[in-house]
This record gives sequence, structure tokens and C-alpha cells, in this order.
Amino acid sequence: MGVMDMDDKQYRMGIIACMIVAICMGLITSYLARQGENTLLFVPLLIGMVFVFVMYHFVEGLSELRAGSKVDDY
Amino acid sequence: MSVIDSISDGLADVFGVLNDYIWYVAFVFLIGLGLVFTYKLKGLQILRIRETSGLALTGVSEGKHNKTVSSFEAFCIGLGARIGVGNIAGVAAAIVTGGPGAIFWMWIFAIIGAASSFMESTLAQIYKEKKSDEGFHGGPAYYATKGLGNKKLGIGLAILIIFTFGIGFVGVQASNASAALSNAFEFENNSLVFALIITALAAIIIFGGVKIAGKFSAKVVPAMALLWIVFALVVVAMHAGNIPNAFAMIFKYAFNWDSLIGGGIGAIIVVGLKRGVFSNEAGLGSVANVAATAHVKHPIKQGLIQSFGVLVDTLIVCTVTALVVLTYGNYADIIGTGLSKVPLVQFIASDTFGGTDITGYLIAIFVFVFAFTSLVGYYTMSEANARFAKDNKTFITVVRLIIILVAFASAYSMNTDLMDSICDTFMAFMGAVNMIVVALLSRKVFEAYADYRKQKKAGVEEPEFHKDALSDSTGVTEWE
Repeated sequence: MGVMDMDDKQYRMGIIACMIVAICMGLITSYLARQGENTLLFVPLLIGMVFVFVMYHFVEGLSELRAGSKVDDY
Repeated sequence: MSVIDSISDGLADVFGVLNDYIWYVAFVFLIGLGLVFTYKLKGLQILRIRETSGLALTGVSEGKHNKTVSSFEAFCIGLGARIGVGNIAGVAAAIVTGGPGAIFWMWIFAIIGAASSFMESTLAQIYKEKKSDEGFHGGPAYYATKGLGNKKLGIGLAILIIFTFGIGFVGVQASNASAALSNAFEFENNSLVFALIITALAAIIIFGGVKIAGKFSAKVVPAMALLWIVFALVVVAMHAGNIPNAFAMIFKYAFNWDSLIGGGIGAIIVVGLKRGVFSNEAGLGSVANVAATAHVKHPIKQGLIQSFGVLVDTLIVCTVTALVVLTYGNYADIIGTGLSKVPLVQFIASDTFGGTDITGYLIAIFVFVFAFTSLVGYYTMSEANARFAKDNKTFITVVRLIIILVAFASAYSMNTDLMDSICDTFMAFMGAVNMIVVALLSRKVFEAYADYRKQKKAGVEEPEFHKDALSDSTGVTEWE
């Protein structure tokens, strides 16, 4: 199922799920930083950022679904 | 050790651990969404810098209503809030705790943060509201309530703003201002005297109202920032030969995996983010409160102006302070002084001019004025949010008294480390929540920006906004 085929509820669930994963990745990063894992900490940090990007993708999809169009180019 | 010291140490430990955990979560949202906005806006904060800088200055002559704040005044109040202790004490602390490389990360995050500042300031304008005092009010609490239709979230954000800025930021500014003055002017009970002076001046502004605060900052801030830059450049010029080495240290230690400090590169980056965000406040929702008070014809104008404010704060003002510290010598020489924050800058300036006390006095005055204008900005946004949460005279008076009490207690105790920890914790919460709300409402900003560009392309010199430009204008009340 493509992102554009999702309904309102599925978009909202996607946003919340991504947000939770991003928060968890931030906490794991903090734990690794406290353990002195100065290289390894970048793995959850980057995964967290990727989930934030995906979360935004869902936000954009939801707003397009509700507005019925994309934003004009600028 | 006194009971107060034990409590302070205990609180510092608790907030220290909280900071360690919450800041990487805040990092993910502040930087992740900042990058998304930069991409979506096609790097406007850099590629359209000529337009943003021009708008910030031409706002001086912009027509306005008697009870509202002009675009330039809003820019200056925003700058007044941004340019504070963070530009002197914060930069010195970043170098001591994160190494010279932290400055590089402050620059990067300022560029990313300028896009976030554009987003939040534009949203604040779109959802601003005219109150009974005929002035405009807005900010995260307003756009969460009106844009997302969630009053509880709005009130929660309003209270978080009061805690973050009315308590955290006011405490940091007051404690650093008092510490700088006490360090420069030594006499018996000096901390009490300076705490009373800071408190009395704060009370005068706080009970004088937002309009006086606006006029005060608009007149003082540009001159003060310019004077600091000139003074700092004179100090740097005395060590001009070390400038290349200063920049070399910034770039070399930015990617130094075998860090000079505990915590490695992750710690360098987080120190850069913390001190950068503390200084320019991008994404924290604070400047959005100020941006909403401006009388402009198009919301995008305030977005562009405030994004320029982030760059002025960090890329210019913070950089000159960093050069004051880093041109003093090698990193070992700087650490060898055993100092941090304002006392470090005071020591370097004094040493540069042959140990004279005058430079110490001058820096103390700079810090005092910076801290005070910031306090004005924080008070403005705290009161606006208190009015949002409960527009009741008694409640507002209580909030005002709490802010004055925090200013006094922080200025008297001068425990800058504890205040930093408390402030950092609130700041991380505020940044993460605000950025998520901004992301959820981002379409409104992009639609307003498309409308602004369309009018510009059609040759309209002064674009005007109407809420019909939005696909859904529910909650928008001021753009009929």
C-alpha cells in the first residue's frame, strides 16, 4: 500500500508510531553517550532522525489528504 | 556545606541526569525537523539572506497602529531576547565544556535553526489574535489551540513557556548578570546589592507593560550589540596573529573523535546544540511569541525577519565572542586559566590590556545590559502566555511576582551551573514539543509562503495576506 493510498486514521497512526520510535532512539542515544560509546551512539541518533523524516512524510500526506491538493510551488 | 548548598547540589545532579537523557531526544526533533524545513524552504535562510536582512531593517519605517508593535520593534525584542548571556557566558562555556569544535556545531545548528524560526514565527503571525489591549498576541499556545484545535495542548505549551522562559531563562540571565557585576565590582554584600538593583529594574519594566518593553529594547539592543561587536573585535585585534589558529581549532576539533573532553564527538555536538539553541532560541517558540505582536501586511515578513535574527545572533555575535576566547592562545592556555563563562571573558579582556580592571567593568556592564534586555523579552512572552492560560488580573500579578522573585533569588545566589541545568531541561522539553506542533501545522506556512512568492513574482512590492490563501483557514481570525 502506498503512502498516498492511506486514510486519515492510518496517517495519524503513522505519525504517532514514528514519533514514539524517534523518542526511543533519542533515549538509546543518551544511554550510549552515558556509557561512553561515542561512536556507536550515532547509530540510534541517525535512525531517530530517519524516523523524524518519515514522520514528516506522514504529516505531509495527511495535510494533502485533508486539503485535497499539494501546496503550490514557490 | 550549608543546607542551601546541599539542596543546590542535589538539584544540579537531578537536572544533570535529566539533561543527559532528554537532550538527545530534543536533538532528534530540533535538528531532524530543522533539516526537513530547510529542504522544504529550499534553503531560504541562506539563499534569500539579502531579502531577509533588508526586511529586518526597512521595518523601521513601517506604518503601525498605536497599540501594536512595529516589525522592527518585534525584530529588536526578538534580538533582545536572543542576544543575552548566551552570547558571552554561553559561548565561553561551550568552548570550555565542548572544546573549540562546539562553535562549529553552533554555526551549523544556527543555519538549520533559522528555518525553524521562520516556520514558528510565520505560524505565530497567521494565528495571532487581537486582545482587549488592542495589541496582537500569539505564539505556540495560540497556534496549537487555533491551528490544531487543541486548547489543552495550547494551555500546556503556555505553562511550559512560562517555566522555560519566565523561570529558566530569567534565572540564567539574572545569575550571570549578578556574577559578572560581582566579579568586576568587589565590595561587601555586593551580590545582595546587585540582586536588588536587578530586581528593582526588572519590576519597573514588568509593571510598565509590553509597550515600554518594546520601545526599551528597540532603542537599546541594536546599539548594545554593535558596541559589543566593536569591543570584542578590538580585543581580537590585539591577538590578530592568532586568528587563523582560532579558526583552525574550531574546524579541527569539530570532528575530533578523540575529543579533548569527556564524551567524545557526541558531547561536542550536543554542547554546540545546547549552547547554540540557548543563544539563538530557534525552535523554542520564544521568538514566535514576539513575532506575533508585530503589525505586518504578510505573515511571511515576520518569518523572514526572525530567521535573520537567528543568524545575526550566532554567526555574528557568538562568533566574535568565540574569537575573543580562542585568539587568547591554544586550548590548553584557555583551560589553564581555570575559568569559564563571563569570568573567563573578563580575564582574557583584562589580560589583553595589561591587567586593567576597566575591561572587567566594561564586560560586566555589557553582560548586565544583554541580560536585562533578554529579561524584557522573556517577561513579554511569559505574560502573554499567562494571559492565554488565564486572563485574570490576580493570576497575571502572581506570574509577575514569581518572575521578579526568580530574578532576585538567581541574582543573589549566583549559582549559574544550577540555573543552566534547570534551563536546559525546560528548553529541551519546549523545543521538542514546539517543533512537533510546528511540523503538524507546516502546510499553513508553505501555503502562505507560496502566496507571498506569487505576489512578489507578479511585481507586488508589499504583498498582502488574506486568509483565503490558505486551503483551510479554521482558527485564523486576523487576516480577513
